[in-house]
Amino acid sequence: MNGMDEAQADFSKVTRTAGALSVVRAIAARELRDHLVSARFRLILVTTLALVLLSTLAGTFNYRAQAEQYETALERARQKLREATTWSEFQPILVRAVAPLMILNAGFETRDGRVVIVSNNQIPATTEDAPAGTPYLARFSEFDVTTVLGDMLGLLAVLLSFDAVSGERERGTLALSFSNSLARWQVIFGKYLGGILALALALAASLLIALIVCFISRVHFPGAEWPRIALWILAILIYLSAMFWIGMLISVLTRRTSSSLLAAMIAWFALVIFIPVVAAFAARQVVRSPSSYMLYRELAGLNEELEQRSADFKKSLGAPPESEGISISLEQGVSMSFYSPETYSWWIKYYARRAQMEREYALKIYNRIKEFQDRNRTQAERAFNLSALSPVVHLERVADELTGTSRDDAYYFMDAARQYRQSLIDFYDANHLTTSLRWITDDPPGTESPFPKETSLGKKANTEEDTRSETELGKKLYAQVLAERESGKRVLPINEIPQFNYQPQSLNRAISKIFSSIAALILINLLCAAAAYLKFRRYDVRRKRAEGV
Amino acid sequence: MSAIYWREIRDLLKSARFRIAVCLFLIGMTVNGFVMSSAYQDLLRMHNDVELSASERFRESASHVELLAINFNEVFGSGGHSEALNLSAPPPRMLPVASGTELGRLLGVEYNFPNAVQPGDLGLSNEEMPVRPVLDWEFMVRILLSFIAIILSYDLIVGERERGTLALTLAYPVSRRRVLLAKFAAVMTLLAWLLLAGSILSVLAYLTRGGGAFSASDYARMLLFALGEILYLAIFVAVSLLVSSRASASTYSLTALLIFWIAVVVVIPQGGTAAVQGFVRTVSDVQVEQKIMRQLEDQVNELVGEMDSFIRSDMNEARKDDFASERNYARRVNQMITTIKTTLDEQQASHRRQARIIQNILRLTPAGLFQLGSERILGVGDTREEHFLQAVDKWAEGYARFVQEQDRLDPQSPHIFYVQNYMSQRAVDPATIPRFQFEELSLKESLKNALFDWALLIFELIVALSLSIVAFERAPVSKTV
Repeated sequence: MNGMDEAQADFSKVTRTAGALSVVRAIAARELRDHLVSARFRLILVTTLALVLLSTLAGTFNYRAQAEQYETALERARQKLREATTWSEFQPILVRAVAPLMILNAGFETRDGRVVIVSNNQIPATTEDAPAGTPYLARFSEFDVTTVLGDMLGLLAVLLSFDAVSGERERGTLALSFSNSLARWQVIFGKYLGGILALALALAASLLIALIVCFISRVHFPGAEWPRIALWILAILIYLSAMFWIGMLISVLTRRTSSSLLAAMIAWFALVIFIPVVAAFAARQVVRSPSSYMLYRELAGLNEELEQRSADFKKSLGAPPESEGISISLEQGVSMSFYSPETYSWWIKYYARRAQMEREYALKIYNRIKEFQDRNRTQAERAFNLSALSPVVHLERVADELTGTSRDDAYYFMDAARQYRQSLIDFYDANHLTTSLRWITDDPPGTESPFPKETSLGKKANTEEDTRSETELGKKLYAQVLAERESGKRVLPINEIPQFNYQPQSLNRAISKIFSSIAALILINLLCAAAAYLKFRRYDVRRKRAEGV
Repeated sequence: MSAIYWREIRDLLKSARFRIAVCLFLIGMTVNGFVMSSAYQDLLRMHNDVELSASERFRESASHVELLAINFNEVFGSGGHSEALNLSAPPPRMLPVASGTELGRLLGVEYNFPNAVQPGDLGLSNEEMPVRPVLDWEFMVRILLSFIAIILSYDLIVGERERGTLALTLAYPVSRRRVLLAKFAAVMTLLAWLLLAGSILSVLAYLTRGGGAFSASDYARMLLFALGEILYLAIFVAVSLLVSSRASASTYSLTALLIFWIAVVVVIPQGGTAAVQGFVRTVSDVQVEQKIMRQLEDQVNELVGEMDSFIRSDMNEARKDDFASERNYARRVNQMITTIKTTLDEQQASHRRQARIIQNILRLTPAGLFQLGSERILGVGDTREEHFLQAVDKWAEGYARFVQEQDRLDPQSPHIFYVQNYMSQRAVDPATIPRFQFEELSLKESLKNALFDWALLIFELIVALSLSIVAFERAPVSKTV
């Protein structure tokens, strides 16, 4: 205990000359020195650094994969937009960008897809490319930088503080401190300062490793991300401080270091590992999980109903006037060529009504999906509330929001997509597109039908020869239409359509979502600090003779 | 020896840590019983629904042999049902004991005639929630009880040395080895009783709340699993005694053991998995889709767009050249389905390859051995998943054969698959259609699967226990100053 004696000597000098705060500083410096040389600090720091290295590396790999997926999807979206030749076929694909900070905090970024289709018959609610994932991994929780820091440095925080008071008491150095007439708040605050500095150093080392890995992997964070990173670091510090105060409280509540270590371990285990799992599990009982299988069956039922009603309406219109043309039926739309004006006006009547029905069913389907999602969200919220005692759960939520990888970010995008669909629908209606020729046909104005007037597909062809020549002509024209579509001759005038302008959830908005969690973390800090201080004021600093030899 | 045994039991029973341990464990196990019973019901309801809709579709399709082929073919489906057929396995009866990967999902597949099978997620997984492990018995033992095992035994020797009673204990007329074994037995006895109490509570909660009943072989599995539990926990107790013999202070002992625990239970399994996920990539859904699209898009457009030119509406005319054009069409469709199947199989294989590596990393620690061994002995997890997929494949083969045979029986039919009106139009007795029935892995097979993991656990226990005996033989009796 050489350092200790030196420090004691330091105190006696400084207390006389300088103010109370310099005493605090001296204690903090001593604590910091003791922590940095301690075996537990080094051991856990080394483990943490190795894990941070590993998880950052895995994070950059995942980020790359996501970014690649994003680029591919974007390219496909552009291509699809160029391909559309009728308004019924026009279905913009929206792609959500990857949050680069997913390297530090995976959040929900890898669990959902990023592609949303906007169309007359679909209200955006789910992504088109949600990964099914591999079942073998379903049992593993995330292991990103935030999780590593939360688990390991959280443990370190408790390990640094559990014997802050009880240890000194056991060694008998606590009584010595007070023979120098130190105020108790100075002791406890000095110890806190020393501990939090040691933790900050460990955090800094971890982040350095993470940044070096990012640098080597050539991942650069845009400038706008740095305030987010700064706040993320601050949140981790507040969390570590909370864990430190929990350890400190345990330290003043127990008399011997062996029991304070035991209590600290159990507290760490319960708060960091056990409570989040039990809460998430028990929430299933509070809010029963809806079944996605049932949902899809219901949605399939609604789609069938739509088709049925649409078919009924078609039947009520009677047979379409006979004329010949090429009709390409697309995923959700249609593109027709070379039919007579009468045929077109019949089909317009049908498709205009169908467009209305599609909107109606889009709303029904959306409501059903929303109900499903709301129920899942309620369950998740219950799980969060049940584990509100655990600082690590708050850290998780704060980190998700700050790094832009939360569920809220995905929903924010979905909201924007829905607004965009509404503006698109308004555009359709303002220009009466659903009742226009261009809804179903890509014929340039004044196109003459290339089919001979005499024969018609509707009637039975007179001879086999007729049928054959007609089929030959149809094939040729079909290929011609496809080629023209391909080469952009029939392209839609999409310059006037509303643009999708999406800005990811702003930092301010993200902060407003985590207010309660930050408050909870600070509250844990304050409560434990106050309790530790009050208890410490009455703490018997003497070592009882009967205790340990 | 028995005096030391009883003394340790008495002391531990009185200790606060044991009471906290009892509380945590029993609460966890009761919650498990309650929640798992509802999860079981939910999964069962879904499974029944899947079965019901499958048999409905079989009944509808039985009116024409050709529907039995065309209705279950997503690529060229016609008529009202152009979706693949869903098949599922019932929820595992061992759900509360070890849910494997199955709580979030009902094991299921999408089936495309004749044999393209894609594992589907018919699950209850909540995408809004952060991923958390499932609170089954296996988790409770692997995470909580191993921690408790350390907490109960970290100071059994170093604590006595600190208090100065070790010399007194060794004054008993028994060998040191026996003293150590008595302490070991004392902790194990308490843990065994705790396990028993927790399991009974969980089973009671589960069964009274409507979870699935257990059969005799299920209880046998539970007993074998209990053996694994004891083995696994014994390793932790033995390591604790080892560290406790060497440590100079009980705080050092606890700190060292805690770090050991974190490494074994958290860091190696989780970090290893994360690393493997990063480095060993699997074929993603997007890649599968792209690959299928790239290979087949033109063909699909051609086949569907020009179906009229392939398939002649006048069958008599087609008969003249022995359905050459139609056969060509059918052959190409068949090729496409084979391509789809190959691509899906490749994805499956890449998942399996990744899983193998992860499992081998898990096996580096007793926690991983216990986890894998338990899942195997209980017949859940990846062995069940693979068994299920094999069963589906086998059924699909039989089903395709059945449809072909039915078609062959009809002399009117040109026997061309995938082509409407070119297959038999006869009705089939719905009762004769082979239905998918999932048989769980037998106990014998489960045992065989788990043997390696269990054997390794026994080996690790023997090593740990021998080391701790050796360490205790040489342990100092009193505190060195």
